[in-house]
Amino acid sequence: MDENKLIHAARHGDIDAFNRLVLAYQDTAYTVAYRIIGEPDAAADATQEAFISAYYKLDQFHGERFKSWLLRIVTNACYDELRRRQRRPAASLDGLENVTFRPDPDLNPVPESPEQHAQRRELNRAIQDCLDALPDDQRVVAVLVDVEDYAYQEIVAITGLPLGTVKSRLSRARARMRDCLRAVRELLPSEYRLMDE
Amino acid sequence: MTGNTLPDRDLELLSAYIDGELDDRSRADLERRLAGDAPLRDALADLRATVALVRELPRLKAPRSFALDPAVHKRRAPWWKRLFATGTVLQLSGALGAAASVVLIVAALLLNAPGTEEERALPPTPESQPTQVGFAPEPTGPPDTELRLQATATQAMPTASPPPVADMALEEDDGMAAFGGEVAGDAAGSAPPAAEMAPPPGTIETFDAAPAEPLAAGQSQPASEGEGAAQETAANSIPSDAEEAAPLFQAEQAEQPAPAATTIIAMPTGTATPAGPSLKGTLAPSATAPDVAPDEATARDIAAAGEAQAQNEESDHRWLAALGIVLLPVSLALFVFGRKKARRA
Repeated sequence: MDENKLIHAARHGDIDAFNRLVLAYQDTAYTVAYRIIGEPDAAADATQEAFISAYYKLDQFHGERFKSWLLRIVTNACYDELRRRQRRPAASLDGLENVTFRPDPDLNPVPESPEQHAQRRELNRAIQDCLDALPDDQRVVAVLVDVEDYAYQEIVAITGLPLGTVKSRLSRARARMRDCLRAVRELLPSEYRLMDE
Repeated sequence: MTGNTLPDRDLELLSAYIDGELDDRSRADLERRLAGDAPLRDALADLRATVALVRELPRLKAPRSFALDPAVHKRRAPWWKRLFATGTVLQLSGALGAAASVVLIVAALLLNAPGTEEERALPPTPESQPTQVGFAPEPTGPPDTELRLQATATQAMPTASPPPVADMALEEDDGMAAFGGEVAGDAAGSAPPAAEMAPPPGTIETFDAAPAEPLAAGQSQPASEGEGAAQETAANSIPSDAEEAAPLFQAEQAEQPAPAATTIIAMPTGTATPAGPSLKGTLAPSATAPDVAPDEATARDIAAAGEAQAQNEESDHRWLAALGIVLLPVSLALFVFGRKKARRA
């Protein structure tokens, strides 16, 4: 069924239609949440809250791109979760432990040797750690642009930030990521070695 | 370290350049700079490698289904149904309706209350005049005049069963004699209270036809003319002073803001507005009924018209009250129903 028809049906109370939208976007929503929050359980909770919130806020959807509208709700849910974690630092430590020991599920598993697989996991963890080290506002922009490959105008729509703010936050986030990844250069594949190495 | 010393502006330009978000002019300017600036080129390469690494991050699979449970998340009704389902609208409309009905009822009661401006504005009926006078004596006139007016009003009461006119005329002489005597006694001082001097009610019917004229005349005369002039009876002075008395009363009417007392006096004569000649016509031949009948008929017509108008307005007011009375329980029921719904919700 067409996405617009699903949205229309869900807006009129068809929860099955809404669940079809959930199934279509839950991987994207969870990925964004995980990249922003950096902790799987909290990311799952934020994703679930975002879908529930989206269901009850469908009246506020006015025909823009549904994915952007949904990711705005996901981003807000992530901000809420991050604020909760800042109020309860102990919980965030538990989350970090979970991240360390929980392997990232991969949607597109490529046939690789166990050694390659282990190396890739380490690299992914290092990148995620660098992402986690970013300030929240820079991390959100970096995830949306570099992980989800959104255009700047879509970031403006999702975050509600001015275009100039998006650009400046993104450039600062990338500069920090560059510096962070230099610290784990031994994990980087040769093609990704940075220029000063 | 390459790029660490780059200004923020250059970092933004390089970042936007990687994403293809620069306009043509900015991109051309940056490419010119990149061609001649090796550190800038190195910084661009570093940023590109960083972005490529982050973009290599795998997309994640959701650990579980985030589909909503229909049992927990009930189907959403349209907004207007949800609005009514909460009972808020019902409560609000019920409260507003109850308030409106109370306002309607109170307004109807106030509009139907006696002594309102509307009723005062109605043409006074002969039956209603005495009571009106009794309830609202005007304090603006001289005290003796007011008392005389009251006396006149009380004397007008028996007109429903008037004594024979001949008797009245005879009694008038006696009454006026007594009146004149008393007036003479007090003539040098302030005018005596007319109520005290007033003859018994039954004897004043003719006096009531022209009570004001002698009084009005006596009000000014006793002080100036002395005892002899004061002893002149009302009956004798009426014909001669009637023409003067009417303007005097008209002057009093002009002085008094509320016309109640004035109309009271004028109406029994049947000639409220006309001056002397009309008064004469009612005063001198007061013993003849035919002269009074047309005036009474006119007064009756006016009274009937006033009553009809009053009834119409009263019926309007009753409609208001009826509407309020009907609306009140309906509104209260709405309110209670909405409250129950809200509690359930």
